[in-house]
Amino acid sequence: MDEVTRAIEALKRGEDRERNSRILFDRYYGSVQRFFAKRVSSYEDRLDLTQETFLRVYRGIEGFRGDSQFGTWLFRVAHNTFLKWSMRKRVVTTPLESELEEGDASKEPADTESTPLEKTLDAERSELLLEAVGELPEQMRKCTLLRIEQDLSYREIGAVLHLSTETVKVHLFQARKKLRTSLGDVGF
Amino acid sequence: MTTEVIHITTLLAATGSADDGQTSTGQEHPSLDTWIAYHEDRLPEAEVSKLQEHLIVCRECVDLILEIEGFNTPPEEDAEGVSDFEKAAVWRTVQPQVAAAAPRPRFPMALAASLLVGVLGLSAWNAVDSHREITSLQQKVSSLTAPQANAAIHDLLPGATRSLRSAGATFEVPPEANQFTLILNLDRDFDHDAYRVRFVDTEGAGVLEVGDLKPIDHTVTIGLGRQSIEPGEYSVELYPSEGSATERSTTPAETYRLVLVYG
Repeated sequence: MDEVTRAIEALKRGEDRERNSRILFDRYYGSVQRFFAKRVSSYEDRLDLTQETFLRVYRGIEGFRGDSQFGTWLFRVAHNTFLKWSMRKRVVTTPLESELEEGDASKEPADTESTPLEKTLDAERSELLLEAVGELPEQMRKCTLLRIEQDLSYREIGAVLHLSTETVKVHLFQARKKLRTSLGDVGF
Repeated sequence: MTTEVIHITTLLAATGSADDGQTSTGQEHPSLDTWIAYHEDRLPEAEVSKLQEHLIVCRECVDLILEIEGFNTPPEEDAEGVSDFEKAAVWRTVQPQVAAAAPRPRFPMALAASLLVGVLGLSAWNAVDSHREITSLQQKVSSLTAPQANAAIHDLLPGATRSLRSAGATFEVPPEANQFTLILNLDRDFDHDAYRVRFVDTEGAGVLEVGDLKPIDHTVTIGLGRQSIEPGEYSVELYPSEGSATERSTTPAETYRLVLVYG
């Protein structure tokens, strides 16, 4: 039994509340803080929501039956806390990432500087690439598309597809080999 | 799945990430519960495959999956972007409320609490009941001993013995009177220190005897209650109380007639 599981069980029994609450706080503060940082722009609101989430966890710890991972249960608590706050505030916030992406002109210079011929060649290459990727074995194809379309890291692809990072590496290595054979240098 | 179903579009709409609950390619976003079930590997293979196809074209859902994954990432990989100062500030706010945020009592505690409440309740009920009994007795004693404004007193004269129908023989005790007093008027020749009085019913049975009655001014006063004697017709026999039981006179010094009526 790891430290977090022991802390959860002890909290359920009402033992050493402060110490065990601190263990969960230390372990999950980062996840909760990032969850709200992504959705709420106000610093004060983020702190309030983070605090509220942990208090809800401590109050409702008996509701965690251990059917799922504690982190997943905590995610749900954070999510519900956020939804209630959103409804109460009736404020639709814009993710900071989206704002940054929208305001960052350097993201799209290639398009504005491409000539019509280059654009046509890019589109043709993309079409050929996607066609060739479609011929790959299923898992290899999914790894490749998540790499190309979503620009995910090996670890992220593994997390999304429930594969180990090593398996993702192998799939992408094999995919490159196959695509090089049919298309030349594929560039991923 | 019994947990609350919140469609991902609610979350995305709230965050401004989706306009109509659809991806940029027009696909419906699966619900949060579906993604949690996907994350926990609880879905059939066909559905997993379908969801993975969705992930390839939907950045929002990829981010959601990565976020759920992030909540389950070991701590050494979780420190990125965390401000120690901010973390300490939040804990300082949370810490004092930790004790107050205790979960509801568990079953044994609840049971113990219920039993305690039950015991206290019964004790209180008993106390109330005992109190009621005591109060009732107190009221009874108090009603029996309280001075009465129109105390029932009746004089019995030796002359009344001659006729039971005479007004002097009948004593109607008023309804409000629990106690009443009989005054036996003595012959002037009686000079005993004390007397006893015996109440004998019409069948010759003694029903009540009262002793050691000191005469005052040629009268003997007997205090009685409704509980001490039944209503009815009696012969009230007066005896001198001197001497031992064997020396007692069997012939009364005086006899009075009494018709006792309770109103």
